[in-house]
Amino acid sequence: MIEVLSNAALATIQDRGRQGYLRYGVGTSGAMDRVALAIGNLMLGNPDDAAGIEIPLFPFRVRFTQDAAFALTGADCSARLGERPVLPWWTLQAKKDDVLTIGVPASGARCYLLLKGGVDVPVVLGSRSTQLRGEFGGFLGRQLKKGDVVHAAAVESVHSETNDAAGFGVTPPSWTLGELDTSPVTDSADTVVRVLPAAEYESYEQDSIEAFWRESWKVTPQSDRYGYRLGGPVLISKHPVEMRSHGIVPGVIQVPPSGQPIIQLRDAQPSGGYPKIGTVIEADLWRLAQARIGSKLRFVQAGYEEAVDALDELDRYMTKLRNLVGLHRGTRP
Amino acid sequence: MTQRKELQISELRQITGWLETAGIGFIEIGGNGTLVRLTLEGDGAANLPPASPALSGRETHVIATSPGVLLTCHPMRSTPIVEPGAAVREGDVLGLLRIAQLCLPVIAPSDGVIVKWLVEPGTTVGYGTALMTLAPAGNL
Repeated sequence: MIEVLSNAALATIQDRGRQGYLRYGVGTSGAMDRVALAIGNLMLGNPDDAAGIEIPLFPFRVRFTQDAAFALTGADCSARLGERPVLPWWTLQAKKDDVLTIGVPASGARCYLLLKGGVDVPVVLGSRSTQLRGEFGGFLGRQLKKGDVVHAAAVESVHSETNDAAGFGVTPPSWTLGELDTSPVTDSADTVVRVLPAAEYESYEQDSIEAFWRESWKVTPQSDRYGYRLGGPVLISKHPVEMRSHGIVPGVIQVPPSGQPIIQLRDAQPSGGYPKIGTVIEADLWRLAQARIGSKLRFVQAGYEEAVDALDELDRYMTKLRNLVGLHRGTRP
Repeated sequence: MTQRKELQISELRQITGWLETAGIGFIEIGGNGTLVRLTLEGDGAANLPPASPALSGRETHVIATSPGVLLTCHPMRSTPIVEPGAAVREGDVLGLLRIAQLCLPVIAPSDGVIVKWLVEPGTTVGYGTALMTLAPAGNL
């Protein structure tokens, strides 16, 4: 279906994640930007649980070994299909032997390549996501490499579909959901995410808590699917916080003894013993996924109600998009 | 409009009413192998742009194949998809017609050189609006 032509490492097969196995010590994995993955699947008319390819290193090149529809979402990577440019957040029909080149992103960090029908890999523990630590799921439990041939699940050709050679696109989620603002001094290049104070929030010095909300946090090079290690003011607790390992979920912001926070993400271990100062709300994890190494994050305090409302807002946005795309594709949503 | 449901005459009146209000000349409703075309006589129809190849010389118009808000830049970018003076090939994406979150491509109907946009970016256009003038390749 597609053959990987580039040596770019770290590209993995991901779906919306492996739910329900945290208690057995199996992390969720899944796409870092689940909104981008979901929208790509919507545009292709794929099932919601279809898997795609998450690409964090560029350029990334593939050759189609047969005609196939694909979608590109996430970071804007100045992609080309043969010689022709492919716009971001776009779906298109490729022909056999077409080469798709996904370039270095102008903005954002991760690009998603979705195939019509979804990537066909075995479902392991309810998901097609790659579990890198456990070396299972996805494509043989590992990152893609040059020469790999990735197949899409066979689909019946639907005659009612629009047969536009130029394809169609959608606006990126930030166009509808907006960039979040903290204050007039916020640099527009900063990624702003909403954070709930977590269990050990009160254990920190007042100065540290103020700095946590006020300062920007650099995404250091030690940041990946496991977690983002941040650089900024040192966070100091009132007294040493020692805890047994306990369950953690993607989005949890831990503070190790260095005082430099770590945001645990999709490939994080499901347990840890560091104190937690906050949690990035679930509805903003896609924003985090597109923050590049070297860029700055800012945290804005949210309450529980706001976090739930934000999820509802995301849900409504996805429902609207599903209807719009369904109408355009000529299928009843 | 659907295979099972028949179109009522009252619905046709409603639709022509909407067309008149919006200043749209005609509407085509297609299904599986069927096409209904409703043409409005009078002012609405008079506003229709000339058909694609009806320009002086050999310039052509690029016609909107959908209603929508004309975008000359992708919503993620600040630079235009194409610039006047650029050579384009048949099938190239020149701009976008945005309907809510949906972005439909404005496609070059033939090889050519872009002369100019005829509509300001951000304008809501109807089906059939002339969007751009295209000169024959190498003949600007």
